[in-house]
Amino acid sequence: MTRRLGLLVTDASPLITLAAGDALECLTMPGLRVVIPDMVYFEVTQDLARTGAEDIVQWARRHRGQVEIVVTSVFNEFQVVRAADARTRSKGRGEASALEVLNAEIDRDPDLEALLLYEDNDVKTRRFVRGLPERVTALSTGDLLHELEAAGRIQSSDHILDRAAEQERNVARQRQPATDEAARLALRRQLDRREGGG
Amino acid sequence: MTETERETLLRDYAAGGITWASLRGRGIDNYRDVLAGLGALGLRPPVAPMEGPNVAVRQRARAILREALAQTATR
Repeated sequence: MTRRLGLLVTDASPLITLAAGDALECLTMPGLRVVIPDMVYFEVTQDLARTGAEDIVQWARRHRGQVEIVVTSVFNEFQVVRAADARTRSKGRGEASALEVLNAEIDRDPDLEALLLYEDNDVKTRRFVRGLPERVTALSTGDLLHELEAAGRIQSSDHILDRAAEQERNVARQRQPATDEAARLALRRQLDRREGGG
Repeated sequence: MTETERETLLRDYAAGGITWASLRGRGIDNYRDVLAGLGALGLRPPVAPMEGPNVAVRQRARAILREALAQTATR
């Protein structure tokens, strides 16, 4: 019988999009095991002040047993490099850690069945599937949402994606320093009062 | 990067012209900033049409997903 790895999250973007769209449950709805390499998990949760980071932690905790964070040497190496230079970016390491997980599992079982979850534009254009074993397939966040919509498990994939972009836009606006004209005028008035007062 | 360049990149991304990896290569490091930028432009994250070099592999993945969803519905 074919062993099924489940859904392997290869990048931070699907997790961030679904968290921002309040739709992390979409990942667990198919009932498959969800495998997140530690590098990808770190990318999405390193700053708990950012949108969705805490939601992802809570979601992973809620689905303990189905959602699994898997250790990789890619993340270990990243931590070493980062300790030497805090400015080190994780760029490209998420996918490298996912491939490490996949290769280790395939070494154990060449007939393994796995679904790799990619960002949509990646899955459309990159020829990354060359060389992957026959039972390893790939899909995008959009593919996942469309299947859930077709199965009647969510109302609208567009709604989730719109909400994700809208929510992050609102958060970004709140984080922006007040540099508009009204704020400048208020500051000017306050300074004038102080100068006038003495 | 100027605001205009950033907006052009985000529009290109939303239209499926470039990948998240290329945005990252051009200095937009956090995907949350991509979402925020798309939201500010009134755009949504791209959804890949069923075309390109990976269609067969995606169709197989979606079939597995359908089967898994059908099983959870009958549980």
